[in-house]
Amino acid sequence: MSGDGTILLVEDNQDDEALTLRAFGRNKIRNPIVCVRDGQEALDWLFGEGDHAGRNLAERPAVVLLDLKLPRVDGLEVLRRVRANPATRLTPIVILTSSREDRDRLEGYSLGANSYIQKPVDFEQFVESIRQLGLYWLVLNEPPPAI
Amino acid sequence: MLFCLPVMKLSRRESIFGHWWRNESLRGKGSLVIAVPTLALFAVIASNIALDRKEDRLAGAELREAHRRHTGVLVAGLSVGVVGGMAAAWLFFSGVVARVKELETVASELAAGRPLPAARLASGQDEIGRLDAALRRAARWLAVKDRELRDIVGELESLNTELEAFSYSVSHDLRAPLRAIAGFAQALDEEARDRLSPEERRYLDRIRAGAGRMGELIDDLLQLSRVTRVSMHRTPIDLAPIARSIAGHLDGSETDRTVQWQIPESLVVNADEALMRIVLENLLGNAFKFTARTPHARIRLYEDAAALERTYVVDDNGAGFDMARAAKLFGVFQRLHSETDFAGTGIGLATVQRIVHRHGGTVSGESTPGGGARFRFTLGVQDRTPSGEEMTDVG
Repeated sequence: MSGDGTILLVEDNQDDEALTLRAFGRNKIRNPIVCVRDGQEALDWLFGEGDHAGRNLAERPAVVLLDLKLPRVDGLEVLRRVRANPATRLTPIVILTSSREDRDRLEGYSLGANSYIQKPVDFEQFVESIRQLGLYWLVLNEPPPAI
Repeated sequence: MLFCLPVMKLSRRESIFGHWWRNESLRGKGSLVIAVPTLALFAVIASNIALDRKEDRLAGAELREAHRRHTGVLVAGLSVGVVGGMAAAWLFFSGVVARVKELETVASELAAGRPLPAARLASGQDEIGRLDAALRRAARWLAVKDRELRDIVGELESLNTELEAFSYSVSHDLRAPLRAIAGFAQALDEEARDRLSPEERRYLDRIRAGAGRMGELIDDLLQLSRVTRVSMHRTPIDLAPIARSIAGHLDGSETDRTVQWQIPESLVVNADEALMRIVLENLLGNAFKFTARTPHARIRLYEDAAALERTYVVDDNGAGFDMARAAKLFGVFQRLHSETDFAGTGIGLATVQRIVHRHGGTVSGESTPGGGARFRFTLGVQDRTPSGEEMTDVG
């Protein structure tokens, strides 16, 4: 059901990563998925630095699924730096987190998140969230042109 | 020696006049203005005595001359006495006024919470001095209380920060393992469906249901804690459209049910919109839940026109509850029905009560088993906007 854009999944919890990948599988979303475990690795991949130095930066993510509570560099800081960099400032970023706290939503949107989704406890609901997310960001949404 | 003690004690206090007299800068002038009228008075008395003595010996023109001189001394003496007395009074009162003015400055600085000026004129052991000292004691006492209050506020702020951090952690960290439990139970069910007996699959269902229920509990507890933490903004809001939208959602969640909703055309209150939505979600949600087995379910929202204070009512004709246990109604985790009869976390009414209390209002519930339930709430003295009374049937 989807195009071929890469999905960058920034998630430190391996259970959540496995469940998210399973939810993508259940929804037959076959896009390449890059999984990173913390905020620093996410930034390295996005900017082609550190362990990901020399990565082909032409491969831009169709969407970044960003958890907020992350080791090393937290999700909001990742968002701040991605938005501050001209090369990545238009990248679609969906916050996918457990928290529904007002301040997280407020800060997330203030820093330029494109969407905010709370991960439901119920797996069926989670699968449905991922289905709609995939349909919207990978199929319906037209990504920004390359700059 | 024995009566020395009270005298010594008394000697530390003095009168305003005593203070004025003792005051170095005024004493010279003070002596002068007291001495001059006194001398004038003595002159008059002396002149009078002299006249008395001469009166028998003198006659005719000499006596008239003596009387004229005496009148002259009398007039001059009285004039000096009056002028001198006025000067003394002026000197005294100007001294007192200057000190009272300083006292006034001290009092107004104290009232404004600014540091007090150093004691100058107003100090002393007389009434003004003691008043000045009392004001300074009040200032020191206020400073101590102020520091205590600041400490308490600081403590409360740090407690609140801790509570925020705790809620945040609960919100984020407690959900993750639940998602794993529910998600992998479902994954196991899907992957091993063919190999599991119906009994084994029911176990997996129970694991999932348990995780889901815990998720609801976490959400409700977080909401309960959030309604006390969020800032509150009172504006005139119409409860009627909010109630209609909630009714629509509830109807949509159980399409096989027909509930007669009676919601007024308009019901404007002066309250926080987001919090009032939570109140209505809980009260209407409860009414909807407890009328599940009522054949002709009816749920009403209205303003009680007969009440002295503006009072809003949500009532239903559902299962009701036992009034003997009504005291437990608004406690956290208190449930008056078994989990199998009616689902719920037992946090909803506690949340309602907290919101109503934050508005300065009260909430109460009344019922007879099988005779429906009625919840009445007020929103405090700031709830003073007129509202529509007309009732319309919806749904």
